Parts: sequence; structure tokens; C-alpha cells
Amino acid sequence: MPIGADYEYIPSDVTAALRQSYNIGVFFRLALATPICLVFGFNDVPIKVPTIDVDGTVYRAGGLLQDIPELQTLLNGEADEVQFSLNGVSPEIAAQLLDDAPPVNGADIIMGFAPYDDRYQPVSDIVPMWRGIADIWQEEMPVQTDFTKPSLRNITLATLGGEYSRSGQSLLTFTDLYQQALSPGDRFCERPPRYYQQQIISWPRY
Amino acid sequence: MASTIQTLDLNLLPPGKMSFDIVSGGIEGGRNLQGFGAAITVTGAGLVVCKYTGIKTGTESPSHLRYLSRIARILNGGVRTINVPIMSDYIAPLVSAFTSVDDLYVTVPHDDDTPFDDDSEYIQPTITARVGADAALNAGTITIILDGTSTLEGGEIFSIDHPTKGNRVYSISDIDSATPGVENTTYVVGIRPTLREAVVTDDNVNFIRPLCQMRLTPGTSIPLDVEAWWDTSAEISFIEAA
Repeated sequence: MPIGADYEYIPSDVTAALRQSYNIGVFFRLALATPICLVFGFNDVPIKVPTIDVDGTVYRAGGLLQDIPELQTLLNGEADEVQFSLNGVSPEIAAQLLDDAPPVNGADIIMGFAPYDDRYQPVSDIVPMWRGIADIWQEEMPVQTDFTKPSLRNITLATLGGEYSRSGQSLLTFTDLYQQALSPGDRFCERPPRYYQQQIISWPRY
Repeated sequence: MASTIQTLDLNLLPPGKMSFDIVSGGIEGGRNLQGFGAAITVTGAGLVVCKYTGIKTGTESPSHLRYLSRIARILNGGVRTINVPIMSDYIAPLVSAFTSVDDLYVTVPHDDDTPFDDDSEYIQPTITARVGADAALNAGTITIILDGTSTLEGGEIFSIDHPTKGNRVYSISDIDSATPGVENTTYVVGIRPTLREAVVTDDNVNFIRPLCQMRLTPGTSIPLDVEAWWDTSAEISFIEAA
């Protein structure tokens, strides 16, 4: 994959729009059987991730993005495990999440953005900026102790950019038993029990 | 049981002050050479908020205070929604300058010019308008056909009754074009916020006391806060329903 001007990862009309305005929509897509498509904002937006979403997909208003620095970490792809939270999730979205309690583990996540024009119309399709793997999510509604303050409902989703998934089986590594379970007949782990730590094993000489 | 959505009756709760806004979240995005911050908006076209303060129920009738108490029972907790009329009378696109509420409505008799048997007549708004072309969800530009000789200048507030989301209020930000027709004018206008739901041609556009489905701002409530001789000055703060 060529890197540089000849490969348009970000379409030129998007870069042109971003030169003039800082009005962007941030989009989140969790690839469940019925994908959860959220836009950070108040209004539903009909938009799609090219080649993934079908025409007519509507990204639903998901509330306010809570923490921008966290998102920057996401976009730079430096964090191995990133948690991000939504605040003010509308009751329907929360219900949709809670009713099904979907197994998010291992589902694909796309964070992307699209610039808006003066009338808040997306200039382009969603430009995917970060792809991750969902690990675990939790919904939090702390007990309301002070009734003069609004009760908050937070949804937190732990996501991964690397290989630190809890979806991997917690096997005892390098035991023959589990290696046989994974790859029957493979004798790669046959011998480790015979060794102790820091033992120097000389390669076979014939 | 599905409850019908009521409309806030401002005749029973006359406000001393109204505050209407379409708020949008933005973050500061670095400073330019002059030291001014640039704004980055990431939350889209905004959310309607409205606040009525200085509501004097008076002592003319206990019904006013009862109504305030009842609205509190309906709305407290911020779950149930209510249609809130936005008092934009003065900036409504009336043919002549606004002088009183009487300018907002006209009465019409039956087609043989007879009134009802108590001499009252039908009531209808003095300004009628409709959507001139289909527009999709989240559209920021729509076509409005305004009947009569009224004109739009921008800044007017109107509402559209959507099939699913109910009444939603919008404000005109830009006027792209105005095309005079027979007894009407067709405007292409930019609106804020963007359409909450798709509209089709001939949907009613309401410029007179536009309604918006709203709920109590989280964290606020409507206490029955009265002084001696039942004097009260209530405050109700609304935000647009989800």
C-alpha cells in the first residue's frame, strides 16, 4: 500500500473542507449483527462508512462526547486498551443496549469523522480513522444521592487496538495438553515440562 | 398506557421573560497568531433550549396555581415531555408589525357567513406556510412556501409536526432564494438545527406560537414556591426531548 500523496486515505474534498472549517461529526460503529451506529451529537445523521454500511444507514444521536483527549489517543492508535464513555445516552439507545446485552466481545469498532458544511451537512462519507476490537462494555448509573443534580447514565466500552483481548482463551501456554486441544497432533509443546527456567538448550547437532 | 402529549398553556402561566436558544457544543481548538481561540464543533447542529422565568400566576383564580402544580407533577423528573409554545410572536413574519396577540389569529365564519350559535367563529392563524419540497432527515436547507404577502428575513422561528418525533422547532439562519408566486412566496432557507425527521411536500410549517416537544432540563424541577398571599414567581427550564 503506497503511503503518501498518491494514496488518498483522506479524500481530497475532506482535506479541502477541513482547511476552512472545524465543524466535524464524529462517528462510532460497533459491528454487531445489527450494527450500532452512533454519531456524537443531538441529531440523527444519514451517512455511511463506504464499503461497509449500506445506503440509507442512519447514525443515531448518541449524546455528547465526554473526553476529547481520549479520542486523540484513539485516533493515534497508540493505546493498547482504550476505554471511552458516552454521557447522556438517550433512553432508547440505552434500552437497545440493555435489552439485548449484546456480546460485544470481538466485534469490530470503527471510529471515524466527516466534516460538516455550514448547514451541518456531511461533506463526505465517514472517513474511518481508527479500528479496534470491542472487549467488554458496562453500563453505569450511579445511585442518585443528590436529587437536585441530574442522574447520569454512562456507557463505557473497553476497546483494543492490539492483542490484549480478553476474548483470547486463557490457556496455560506451552503445555502439551492445550496445544493438542488447539492443534491436534502438534508436538511442539511436548517437551517443555522437561525443562526448567533459564535452561540453555543446545540446538541439535547432527 | 401511552399518554398524550399536552401543550403548555401560557395563558394560565404568563411568563415575565422568555429565553430561547439553540445550543451547540464546541471545544476550543488552539489559538491563532492574534491569540484568539478557534472553535471546533463536534456535536452537530445543536439542541433547542427554552426557559420561561418570572411566571406570575396571580390571584385571579386558583386555577393558575393549580396548573403550575399539575405541570410540575407531569414534568418533574424530566421524563415526560410536553409541547412548549415558543413566544416568538413579535418576530413572526406578520404582514404588519406585531401589536397584540390578536394579530396572530383571525376568526372565520362558516362558508355561508354564519357564526356558531354563540356568535363565535372558527379561529385560524394569520400566517400559513407549508413545506415546498421533500427534505431528508438532517437536511439543513428546506423549501418553505409562505402564503400571502408576508416576507421572511431570517431569524424567524417555526415548528413542524413530525409523524414520529412530534413537534420540533427550527430557526431560519439563511435565506438562499425568494421566488414570488401567486399569492405566496417560495423561500429556500437554511435552518438550525437540522431536520429531526424527514419532511414531505405540503407538511405544515407553523410560524405562530411554534411548538417544540421538550422536557424539563435535567437537574431542575418546578417547586410550588409561594409567598404570602399566594404570590409566586416560577421558573421553568426546558430542553428538547430526545
